[in-house]
Amino acid sequence: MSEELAEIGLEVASKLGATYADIRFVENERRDVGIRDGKPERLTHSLGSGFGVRAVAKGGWGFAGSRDITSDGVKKTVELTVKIAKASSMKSKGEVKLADVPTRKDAYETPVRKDPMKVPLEDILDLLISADKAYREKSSHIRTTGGDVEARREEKYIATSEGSRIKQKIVFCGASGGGIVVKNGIVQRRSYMVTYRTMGFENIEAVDLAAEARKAATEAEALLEAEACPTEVKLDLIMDDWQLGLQIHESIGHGSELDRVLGHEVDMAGMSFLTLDKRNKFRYGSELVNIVADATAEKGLGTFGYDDEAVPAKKAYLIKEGILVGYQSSRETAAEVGDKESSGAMRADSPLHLPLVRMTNINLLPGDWKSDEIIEETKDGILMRGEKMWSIDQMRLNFQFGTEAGWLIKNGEITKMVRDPTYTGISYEFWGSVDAIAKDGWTIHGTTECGKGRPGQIIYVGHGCSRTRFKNVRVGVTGRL
Amino acid sequence: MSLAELTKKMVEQAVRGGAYQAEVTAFSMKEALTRYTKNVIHQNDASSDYGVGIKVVIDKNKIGGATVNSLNEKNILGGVEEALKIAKVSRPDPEFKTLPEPKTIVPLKGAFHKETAEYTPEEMAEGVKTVIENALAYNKNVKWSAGSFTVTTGVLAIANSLGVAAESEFSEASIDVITRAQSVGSEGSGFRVKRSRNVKELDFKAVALDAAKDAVDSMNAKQIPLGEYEAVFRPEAVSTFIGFLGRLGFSALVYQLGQSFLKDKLGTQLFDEKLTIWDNGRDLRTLSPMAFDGEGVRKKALMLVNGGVPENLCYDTYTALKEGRESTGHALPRFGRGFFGGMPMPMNQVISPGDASMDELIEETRKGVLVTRLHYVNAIRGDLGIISGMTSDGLWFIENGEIKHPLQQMRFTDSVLRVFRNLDALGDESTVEKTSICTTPAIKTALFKFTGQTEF
Repeated sequence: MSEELAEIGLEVASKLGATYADIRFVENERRDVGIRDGKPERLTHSLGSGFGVRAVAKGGWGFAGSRDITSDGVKKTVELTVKIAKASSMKSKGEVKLADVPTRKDAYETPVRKDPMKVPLEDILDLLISADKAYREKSSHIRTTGGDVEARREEKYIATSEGSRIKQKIVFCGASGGGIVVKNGIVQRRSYMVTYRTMGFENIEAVDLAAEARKAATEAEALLEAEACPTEVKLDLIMDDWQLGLQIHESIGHGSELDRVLGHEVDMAGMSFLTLDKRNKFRYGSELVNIVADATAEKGLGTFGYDDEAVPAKKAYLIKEGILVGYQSSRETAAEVGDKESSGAMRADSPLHLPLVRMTNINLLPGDWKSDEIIEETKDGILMRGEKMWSIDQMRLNFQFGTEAGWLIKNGEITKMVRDPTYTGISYEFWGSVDAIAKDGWTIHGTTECGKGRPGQIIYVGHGCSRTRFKNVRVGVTGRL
Repeated sequence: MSLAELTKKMVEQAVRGGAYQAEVTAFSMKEALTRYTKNVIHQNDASSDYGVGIKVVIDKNKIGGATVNSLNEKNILGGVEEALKIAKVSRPDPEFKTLPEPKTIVPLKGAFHKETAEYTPEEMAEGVKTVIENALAYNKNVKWSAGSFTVTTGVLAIANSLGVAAESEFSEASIDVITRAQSVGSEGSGFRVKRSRNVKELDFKAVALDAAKDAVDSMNAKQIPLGEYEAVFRPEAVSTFIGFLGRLGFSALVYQLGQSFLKDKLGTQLFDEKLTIWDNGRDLRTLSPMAFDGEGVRKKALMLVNGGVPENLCYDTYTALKEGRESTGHALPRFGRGFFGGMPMPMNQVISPGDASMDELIEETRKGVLVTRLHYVNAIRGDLGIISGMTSDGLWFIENGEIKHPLQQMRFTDSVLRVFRNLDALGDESTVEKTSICTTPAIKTALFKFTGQTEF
């Protein structure tokens, strides 16, 4: 049905004068199983379907999305799209150029062993409640606990006026949990998770969630007795979990999106200090820092077959040996800066939203250190884990993060845990200070909550990384009470 | 079929399917957005969305939910079956007592303007063109404008098996403008936004000129040492603080989980006595008034802070019944605005203005800063109200009552409680603006801590 309607839509667009058009039909299904304090809190099944049309006419862009998946609905929506495109020409550049992409007829599907939409709800509840119980058994100061399993299926059919016809089915899932503990007015949080991956339920089953919960609860209790993080000190910072993924996400991922660089997001998320004149010249990180945008990475949350412009998934360097060498792009932004190809990064979170340049898997490639050696060869440092707070400026320069837990390191040994750690810096100075990256323990972490654009879109992306050390970082920034 | 009829039909279907109680929320919404940067429209969208949210209760306290965003009747009605299926295998929630009982809801006039619903793509592009042309004409150093012009209209309907039945139309429009001025070696940025339920009330020329003036006045920015300063905040910046007050303090859910900064502080002089905040979903001075909340409970005025004393929390039915209270009408719709679906929140706050003009707020500042808005703010310690973020698009140094020079943007780390505890003055009516969550004047605080510099 979608195939027939797509052909109708593209024909109408052409007749109305569109010089380019594409149409994307999407059906998405989502399953949320959430508990709080050991009892169900949020058990929801969500199903959505609709389509979005992009068109260029008179040198302007138009987009319209609708839930009315009928022949009449498609025709009306295409008519509105072309009308909007023509209105855009009132203040457009006069011409839209798109980087070439070979036309393809293809299909892609996430390899899945166990469909997460078909796992009995009772089994998922048992899993979460068991982990929650394990957490509670290890902690005697609990104020509240929670846990979630989220699974999604997204099926798309994309047809372009240039001839591409792409079918795609993406499936992913993950789990998380944690608790808030309180003692003598001190409030602490420690979480655990099964990172989100493009996999079936086997992703979650591969992890002993109760064991992860026990470990997190033990650390939560320890945080209640821990000293506060030292304030306004310079320490070597070591990270090796999702917090490092988040650092990559905020300072490198968003900073290298070409639409931001070109000012398309200035009214919402901001721009980027990684201006075009810096390409192939600017030292963003130390020579150890190699960052790729890799939509082909196995099981990464940002892994797919084609983006929403029917551009095939790619792997390309953004930063090579510390130098900025590339951007994440769309067909239009790539053409605008003279690139022959899009990086294949255009995705939308809904059929009713316009695709934007979004991260795929933005990965920090492994180094040649052993993880243990990084700790052993740190004289005065801190290991931070567990995302808690993040903030970065509009140009992706000044950032400040807080984590759930920290461990001070003295002369190669972890000496004690500290609570409420924070660190801050300037992105290129921070990445320029990297002096050790582990070759072992490399993992692709995933987040389902990357926000961008107007109307606001929330999409899923991945970040691969292993233990990494940053030298001489400003730690312990505090506010006044 | 109207949304009101649809919700009633689905509730009946759920009850026939064995639900002890059922609630259905339905919406239809049309959004149009014209987004522009560097003086050209680069994104021009329209969408027509439609959806239902279903909550069913089985065996008195086993709850299941489903949402369906589709026009397909089979899918929509299938949502009820899906929710029932989930509820049947769920586990009891002993703290769930009941969905809300119906009460008379007086319809609210003025929440919807048909002029907004009838606005065309051509008129939107024309509005953006007016902004761009006026900004460029303001000064030769103005190089480009960027921003978004959005128009939203819709209908929200809620029904439950106890007899709640509510339906309301709504409309919103907003134009925001970022303008950049550039000269040799220097760049300045200005930001202004105007919002109204009636798109015809937006003054594109005025917002363009204000942003352009700020952009020109922001050129040749300098740095000042990190530390504590007096600070004057324009309404858009105040709105960020008010949002954190609601999220970290006044939501009953946060309070019941022991994470609220209001723990043991209700009824105490937590803020300066000049601060008075109430929330009233029926107040047409707020941007998004609505006669009822996300559960169909009627909205009414609730005093949050009275003369600096926090008095009340915001409850939905679930959190209220845990304490044997009545809901205050602060449940967000299942398809709400924002990301706080499960948390009762104040969304129509009004901050009582003071008597100082913007010029007087500046004149009363010995050594401080004027802040336009804040960017990417997040909580470090919610229980203490400590947040960190950046200033954005217009920051100036004030000395001895005069604006001396623009500043490069700075990072702050401070407690939102301290901001309002050290409130020196509130702006008068002439400074009041509607933001997405509150209607607020500008304010001046005696102490605000800057903890980081950036490079622009």
